[in-house]
Amino acid sequence: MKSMSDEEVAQTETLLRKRLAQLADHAPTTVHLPGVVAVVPGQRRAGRARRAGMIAAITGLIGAGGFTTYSFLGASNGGGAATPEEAVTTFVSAIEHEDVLGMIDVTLPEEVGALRAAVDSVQADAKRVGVLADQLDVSGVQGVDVRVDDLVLDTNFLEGDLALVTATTGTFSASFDPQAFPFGDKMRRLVGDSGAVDTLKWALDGSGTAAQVMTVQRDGRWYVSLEYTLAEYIRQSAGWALPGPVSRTPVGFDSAEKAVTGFYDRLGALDLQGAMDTFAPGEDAMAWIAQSWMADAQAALDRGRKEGWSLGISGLTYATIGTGERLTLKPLAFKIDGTVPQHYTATADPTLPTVVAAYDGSGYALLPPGEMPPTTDGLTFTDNFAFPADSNFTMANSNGTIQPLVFASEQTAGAQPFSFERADGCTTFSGTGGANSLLGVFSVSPLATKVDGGYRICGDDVAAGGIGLLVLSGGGPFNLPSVSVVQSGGKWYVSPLGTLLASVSTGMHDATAESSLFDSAIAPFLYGGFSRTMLEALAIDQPADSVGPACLPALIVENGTITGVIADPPLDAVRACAELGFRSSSSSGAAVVTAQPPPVTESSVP
Amino acid sequence: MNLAMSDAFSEPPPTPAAESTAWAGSEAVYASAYRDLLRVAFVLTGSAAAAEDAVHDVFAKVGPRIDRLIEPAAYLRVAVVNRCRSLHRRTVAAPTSDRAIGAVMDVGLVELRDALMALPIRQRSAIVLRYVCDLPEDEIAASLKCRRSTVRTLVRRGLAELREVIR
Repeated sequence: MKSMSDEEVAQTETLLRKRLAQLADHAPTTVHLPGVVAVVPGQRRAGRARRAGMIAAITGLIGAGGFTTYSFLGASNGGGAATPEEAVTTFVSAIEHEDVLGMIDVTLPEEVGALRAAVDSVQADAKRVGVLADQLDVSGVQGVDVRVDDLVLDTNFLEGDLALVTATTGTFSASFDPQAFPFGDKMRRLVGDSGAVDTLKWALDGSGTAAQVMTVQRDGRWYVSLEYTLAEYIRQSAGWALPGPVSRTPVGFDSAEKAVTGFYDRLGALDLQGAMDTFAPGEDAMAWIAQSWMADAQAALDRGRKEGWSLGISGLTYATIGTGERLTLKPLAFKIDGTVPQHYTATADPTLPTVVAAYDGSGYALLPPGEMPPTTDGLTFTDNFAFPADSNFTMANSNGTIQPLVFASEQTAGAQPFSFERADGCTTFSGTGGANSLLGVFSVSPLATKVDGGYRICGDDVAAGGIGLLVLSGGGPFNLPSVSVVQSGGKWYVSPLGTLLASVSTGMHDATAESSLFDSAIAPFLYGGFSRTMLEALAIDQPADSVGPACLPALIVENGTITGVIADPPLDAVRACAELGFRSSSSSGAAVVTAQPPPVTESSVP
Repeated sequence: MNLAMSDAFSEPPPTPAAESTAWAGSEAVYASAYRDLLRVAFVLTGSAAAAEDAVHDVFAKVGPRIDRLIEPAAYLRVAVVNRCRSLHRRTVAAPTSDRAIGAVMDVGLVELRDALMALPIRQRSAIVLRYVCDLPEDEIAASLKCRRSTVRTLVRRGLAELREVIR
């Protein structure tokens, strides 16, 4: 083919435009106005291989991404399907054809906005930090291929306009080609050129796990619900009884900040029903599943309150992510003041010796009565250990500290106060007496520094996110989860689905283009479930030979001991660390310890 | 040529409500959009019947839900192009243009149509989006799910192929 000069190109373009216009003039002109256009519902083609979204991540990426691509006005009564099964098959068929309208049409209207906001945010930030390519079009992602064959559906109608659609038989298969997937520059460097195509095949034969989707009826039409599907999965996993219809009156607030603060205030007051009342109208799935455990949980909380448990959240300030009628508020500062019952902790008897169990299971050491050193320095652990007839019992932590016991003489009367205070990116934990036991979980983190009356951990939480509401993150930096809110009818409400999705979107929002992805809050999603915080907490101070050789390239080793994690560890190495875990070199060659430690006094935890 | 799209099509609407009103209340807007898309589909498929099928299929699928689109022009254009490409795949072994139309065209246009039909569908789509729809490279890249550089290559090669038949 002969190449053209710029002048020739310009001349050819001009002429081609003219000739194409002339050609287009021969196009038919008959118009079928919308009123006479027949809308043909999608039909299920049994027995044919079909591409479909079988897992939430892919569905969310493609489907919700499409929501963003074509920016819809929001809820409408014009969609849905005549039956639950039709809603599911239409959704599957829509994904097969990358038919965004079809997907939206059978998705519960209240959930469309939350999905769209989250995908908008994740897409923009993922492109900014180099995880996804700029030209990514989530309505047709390259490198991802999902198929469903021979699907047979069964519908179980539930109370409250719900129906559970179960794929009893069928074959789901998916493939992911990391070379074809539109990763951004940074992620491409991380993945490298060696990534092979991953395939997954999952056959349903009716005897094992079934794929299930919850559908909801609105105004006589049926819609697929991501939130109810998740709630049902949790319900079945927990073995809870099937709840009845939801009856609640949503409580709205005048501003987004007031909505989140109102939600946290109610949680702090241990008022679970009140917290759920802040959920947006139509987002009832969490309230639906809560009926299974609400009464027992609230009763336990009420008992705990009588015993001396209390919680109060104050001084909440936020960073706001997003604009418009959907926002995500990330707590920047707050203070939690609370108390634990006097008998919360297992108080030790100062007249008895204390048995200390080694962290790696290699044996026990004995402390004289009344002594509780902060670390294991100077102690000798042995598996040839004779337990005293009566003793206190505690254990060593991975960083060489000893889990502290509280001697009865150190207890103050009444409930034991504690506080968590978050400010300037650090969280300070402090407490007295029995509350120290509560704080003990933080002492084991290598990131913790001892401060007067407690510990301080700086950084951001990477583990809990929006998923673990008020769940302490096991020694990692502690922050309250971000909460998403939505405006409806002039009032602001908490969006449970938005909050769940915010666990990903806010993590991505905080990432920077300059830093390693391993230091970002999305690290667990990329590195096999690990973040720097988690790897450091597990690895530091461990013997180098306690980890597999594939894990070592991620670690800094000095004199046979792991002292840190390198700045930008290879993906494969971190994944190897995550898969292999950490074994104790000393325990691997040591005799099995069969001696049983004495029982620990039971604590009262609500 | 710039497609004679109505105001509602030519630019994204300032507000969703305004767009919704424009689409919901005006049959003239629908008709104009429909004809514009027929022109695109006809050039892309070389067949009046295929063009009618493609545009009808897209409008049938969208139906009254079109009121919920903020950028209906972009959505419909991509949908029609994709539909034409889908029809091409399904009829790849069959003739892609109907000779009946050729009977009322001048010879030069028939040659252009046949030359277009001889192009790979991806290259043809790029040519149509560039010179019939007057889309910039980045929007064509988004429609065809490829890089801008790929669009540039597709258009350049298409131009080179068509140059002889349009002189």
